[in-house]
Amino acid sequence: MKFSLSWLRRHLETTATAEDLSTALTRLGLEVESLYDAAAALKDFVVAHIEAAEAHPNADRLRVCRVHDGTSVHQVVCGAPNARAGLKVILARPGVVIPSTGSVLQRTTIRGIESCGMLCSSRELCLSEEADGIAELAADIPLGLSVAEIYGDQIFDLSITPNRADCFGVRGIARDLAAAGLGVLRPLPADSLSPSYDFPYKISYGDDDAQRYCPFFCAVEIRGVRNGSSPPWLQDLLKKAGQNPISALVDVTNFFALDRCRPLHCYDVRAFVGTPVVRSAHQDESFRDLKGKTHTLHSFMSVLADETGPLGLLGVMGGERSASTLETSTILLEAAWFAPEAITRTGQALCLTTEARTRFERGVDYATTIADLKAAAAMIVEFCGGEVSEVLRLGAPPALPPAITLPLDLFEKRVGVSIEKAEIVRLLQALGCTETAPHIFQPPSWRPDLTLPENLCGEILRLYGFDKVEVRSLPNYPKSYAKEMPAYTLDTFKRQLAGRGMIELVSFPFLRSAWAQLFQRPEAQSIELLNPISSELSVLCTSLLPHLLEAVAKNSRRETAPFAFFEAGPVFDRQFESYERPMIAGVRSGILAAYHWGKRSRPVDVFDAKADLEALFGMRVAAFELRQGAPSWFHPGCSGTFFDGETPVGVFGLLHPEVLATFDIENMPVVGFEVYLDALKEAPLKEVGFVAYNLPSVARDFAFVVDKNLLAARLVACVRHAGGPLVSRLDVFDVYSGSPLTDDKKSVGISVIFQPQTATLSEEEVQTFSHKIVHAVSEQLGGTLR
Amino acid sequence: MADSLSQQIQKALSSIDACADLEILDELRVSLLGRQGRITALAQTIGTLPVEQRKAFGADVNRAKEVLQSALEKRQALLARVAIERRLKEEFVDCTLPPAPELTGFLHPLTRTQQDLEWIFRDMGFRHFAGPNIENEFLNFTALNMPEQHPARQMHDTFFVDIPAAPEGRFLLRTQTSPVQIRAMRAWGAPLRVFSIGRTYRSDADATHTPMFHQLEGLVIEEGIHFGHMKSCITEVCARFFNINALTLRLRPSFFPFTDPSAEVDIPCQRKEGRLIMGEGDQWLEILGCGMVHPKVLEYGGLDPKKHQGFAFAFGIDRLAMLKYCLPDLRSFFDGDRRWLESCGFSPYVIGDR
Repeated sequence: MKFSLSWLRRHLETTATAEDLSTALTRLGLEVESLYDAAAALKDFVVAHIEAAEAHPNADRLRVCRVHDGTSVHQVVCGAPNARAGLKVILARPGVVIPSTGSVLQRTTIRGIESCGMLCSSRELCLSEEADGIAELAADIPLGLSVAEIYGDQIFDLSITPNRADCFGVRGIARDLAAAGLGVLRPLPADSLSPSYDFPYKISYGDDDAQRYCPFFCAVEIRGVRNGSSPPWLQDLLKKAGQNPISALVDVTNFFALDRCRPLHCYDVRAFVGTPVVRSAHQDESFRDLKGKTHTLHSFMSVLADETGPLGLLGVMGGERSASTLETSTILLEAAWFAPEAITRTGQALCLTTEARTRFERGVDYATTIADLKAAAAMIVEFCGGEVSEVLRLGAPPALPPAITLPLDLFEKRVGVSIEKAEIVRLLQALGCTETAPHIFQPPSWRPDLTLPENLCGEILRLYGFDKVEVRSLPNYPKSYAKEMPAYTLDTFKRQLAGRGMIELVSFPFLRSAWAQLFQRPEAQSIELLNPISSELSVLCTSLLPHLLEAVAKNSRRETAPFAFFEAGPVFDRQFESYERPMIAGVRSGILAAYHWGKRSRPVDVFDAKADLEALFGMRVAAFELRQGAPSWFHPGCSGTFFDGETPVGVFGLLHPEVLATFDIENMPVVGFEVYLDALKEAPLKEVGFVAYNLPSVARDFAFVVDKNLLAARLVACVRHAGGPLVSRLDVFDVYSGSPLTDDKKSVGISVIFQPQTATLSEEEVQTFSHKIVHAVSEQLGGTLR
Repeated sequence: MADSLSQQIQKALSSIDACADLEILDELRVSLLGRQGRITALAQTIGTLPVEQRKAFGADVNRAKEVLQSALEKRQALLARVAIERRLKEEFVDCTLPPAPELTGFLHPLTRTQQDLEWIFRDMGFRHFAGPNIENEFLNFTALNMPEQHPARQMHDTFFVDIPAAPEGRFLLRTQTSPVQIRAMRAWGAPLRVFSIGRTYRSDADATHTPMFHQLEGLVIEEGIHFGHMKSCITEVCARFFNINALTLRLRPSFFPFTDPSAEVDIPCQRKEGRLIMGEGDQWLEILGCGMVHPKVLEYGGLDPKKHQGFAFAFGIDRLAMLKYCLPDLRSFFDGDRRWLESCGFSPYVIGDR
C-alpha cells in the first residue's frame, strides 16, 4: 500500500512529521517497508526548457538539445523519442544523484558530443513506473524551479497484514493514526449529489448463487460525461501512489479504491445489449478482461452480463467490451459488496490478483457503499460533467457482526497490564467501536476481523504499545523431562559419523522421478507432489542416497578426492506410518591414500560402508543377523543387509554400476549404507556383565577348507556355537582360494581365543573344545581341517 | 708364579680395554672367567701348590677375578652406550612427512544451530514434540484458525501430495511447524511447555527462499501466563542463542491467524567492519513471530479457552544460523559443496560456542 504524505493529510489533520508518522505506523502494526523522501531526492532537479533539439551527427537515435534552466544554457545529449524543442522538462545537472539508480550523474561525451546533464523520465525520479521518454511538464511552470516544489512529498510504502481490509485505503490508515493520538481524522465532505433521473435499467439477480456471491449491488448511471485527463492534483496523488493516471473516469475509480478502500467499476453502457443482469457465470463461459486476456469462467463465479455475455467479472476485473474510453459518454458506475470467500475462490481459480480482489476478499466496508458511490459520482460530474441517475439498490448489505462482550479483567489477564476502563472504552471508540451496553462493544462495519473479546484485547494493546508491556520472567517449570532424552538421539548418530570423517549434507527431499525409480523396492509406493517446483523434482525421496550420490558427482567434477558424505532425514512411502520414516545414509567414494608416500593406496570398498554401519549399530550389532545382498540399487554381489529378526534395519554395499552411471560417476568406486533409525531404536541394547578375567587365555588357530560359496558368517557362527561360552574372541585372519585347493573350495583361517572364567584351562580341555569345533564344521558345513 | 698372574691380568685388562665389540667382549669374558677360562683354570691349580703358598695364591686369584670382572662390566656398559648412540645416530625418520591421510568430518551448520537451540529450550523446561512432514489441511491450516478461504492461507505456497484426501482434507508438506501446537495440546494437554524443530516446505525458490527450510516452534500454556511472560521468554531465547547479556527486542504488532495479539519481533544489530553484530545498534532485523494463542486454536487443541491461555512463537532456523555464523547465502546450505560444508560446518566434538 503506497501513498504520499499529502494524501494522508487529506484525511488526517496532524502536525507530526513523516518520520513520526512512520514510527507510529510500525508501532501500530502497519509496517512501513519504506519511507521515501521525494522532496530531498528531487531538490537539485530543476525545470528547464528545450530551446533546440537537433539530430546527433554520429547517432540516429540521439538528439543534441540546447536546454535553458532560467540562468544558463546547457548542452544535453538525449535519447528519448519525445525530446523536442519547446518542451518543459526536468533537467539533472552533473553531480546530482539519480533516485532510481542511486548513482551520481557525470559530465560525459556521447559519441563525440559533450553532454552536460540529463533530461529525466518520471521513472528515473521514482515518480512512476512508466518510462515513455522524458517527463513533459506543463508549459506554465517557471524555469529554474526546483522539482521538489512540484513533486516533493514523502512516499510511504506499507505492508498491510491480511486482516486489515480497512488499511487498504488511506482513510483507514489515517483512522488508526488518529486513534493512536497522531492527529484528528477529518470528516468526509457531505453528500452533494443531486440525481436528475431514474435509474434506467431493471438490473436483477439471475440466480440465487449470484446473490450469495454479490449480496449488495448498487449503481448509478451518469449521462453526458466528457472523459479526458483528470485534474493535476489527482494525477499527482495517483503517481505518487505508484499508479499511472489514465483518464478521468478510471482515475476516479482508482482514487476511491486507494482512498477509501472502495473499489468501483465503470461500464461504458454503449456495450450493453439488452438489460444487464447479475448472474452466475456459465461453466466454461469465456470472458475477455479489460487487459485483453481471455479467461474461462466457472459456475461459482458471478458476472454482470448482458444478452451477449459477461460485461465484467464481479469483484475482480472489468471486461474489455465495456471498458471506458475517451469516447465514453454514458457510464454505469458500480459499487457493490461481495462475499470475501467467493472473491478469493474466483481469484485463485483464475490466478488473477487485482486491486479490487485484494480489497473485496479481505472485506470492504459495506455500510458506506452508497455514500462512497455518490461521492464518486459527484467527482465524476465535477471532472467530466453530466447528469446522474438515482441509485440502484439490489439486495442488502450484510448485518453488522454481533457485538462483543469484553470481560473486565480479560485484558489484564492476557497482557499483564492494568488499564482503566474509561481508557479501554476511549481506545476502542477511536477505532470505531461503540459501547452499546456496559462492556459490550459493537465493532464497526469496516473491521470484519474483530469477532472475539481477545481481538479487542489485541486492539487495545496495539494502541497502548507493545513496548510498554513489562517483561515478566517465565516461572520455573516444576517438572524435569531430562529422562525423556533417549540414550541414542539423532545427534549421537550424526556426531558418530562426522567423527568417522563424514561430512553432513542437508538436501531437499524432492527427486526426479527417474531417480526415484532407481531407488525403489518393488513393494514401495512412492508419494508425488501435485504441484512440484519443476516437473523434474516431483517425487518425495524414497532414499537419501540419490542426493548423496549427486553430491559425490558434483564435487568430483571440481576436485579429485575421496569423499564421505552422510545425511539424516525422512524418506517417504504411503505405506509408512504418517507416510515417513527417519533414515540416515552415507556414501564414501574414491581412492584412499592415493598420494601418500608410505601407505598403499586403495579404493574404498564395501567394508568401509560396513564399518560405518557397525559403528552406528554399536553393541546392538550382536543381535542382528547379516545376510548377503541388498536392494537393487546396490551391487548384488557386493552388498549386505542386517536384519533384526525378519526386519531389515540397515543395508550397505557397493553401489550398482548402472546407478552410478546415471549420476555420471564412472571409474570411481562408491560404497554406501542406509539405516532406518526407527528400527534401530527399537533394537534392544545388549547388556553385558563385567567379569574380571585374571586367568590366562588360550589361542588356537584353525584353517578350514569349505565350499567356496559358503558365507563367512555361517562358518563363524558355527565355530562360535561349537566353541561354547569360553570363546571370548574370534577373528577371521585368512581367506584363500587357489592351488592346491580345487576350484570349488576355499580355505578360511579362524583364530579362536578361549577365556576361562573359573579355572585355568588344561591342555586336554582345549583339545576337547577344538575337536568339538572341527567336528561341528565338518558335520554342519562339510568343512575339513586343512 | 705371582708374576705370571699379574702379567696375565695386565694382558687381559689391555685386551678388555681394546675390545670394541660387545660380542667379542663376551667371548673374552668367557675365555677369562668362564668355566674353562684362564683365570678359572689358574684357580684350579691351587691344589698343586705347597700348603703355605695356597692362601696367598688364593687371595691373588680372587683379587684378579674381581679386577677383571669389574673391568669387563665397565667396558660392557661403555660399549652398550656406544652401541645405542650409534643406533640412534643411524636410525632417522623424516618426521616432517605427512601421516596417513584421514578424512575429517563436519556437522552441517543447521545441525549445530538446532543443537544450540535444543540445549536452550530443554534448559528452560521445554519438552520436544516431533511432528510429521506430511500433514493434512486440517492441522496445517484449519485448526490454526485459517479456514479454507482465509487470505492468510494464500500467503503459503503449499506443496500438495498425491495421497487421497482424508476427512481432514488433502495431504500436504507442512508449510509451518505450527501444526505441532495442535498435536502437542491434544497429546499432552495443559499445562504445556513444548518446542518442536523441523523441516517446513513452501513452493518458493529465489535468492532468499528455498522450497525447504527449518522452523522452531514454541508453545507455553500454563496458569496465568500472559504477554509479559512471552516477552521475557523470547528475549531469553534470543539472548542465550546470540550470547547477548542485556537484550531489548522490538515487538511490532502483526497478524497471524493463530495468535492474537500477534507480534513480529526485531533484534537490534549493527554492522561493524563488515560483520553483523547482534544485540545493540540502530538497525533492526526481523527474527521471529509470536503471539498469545488464539482461542479457536486452543479449542481445536482440545483445551477450554475460558480456562487456558498461553503464547506461541516460531522462527526460521536457517535464518538464525545465517545470522549467528555469518553465512551469507541460504542456497549454499543445500548445495552439497564439500568446500562450503568444510568451511562452514562444525566439529562433532565441540559443544557450546566455537
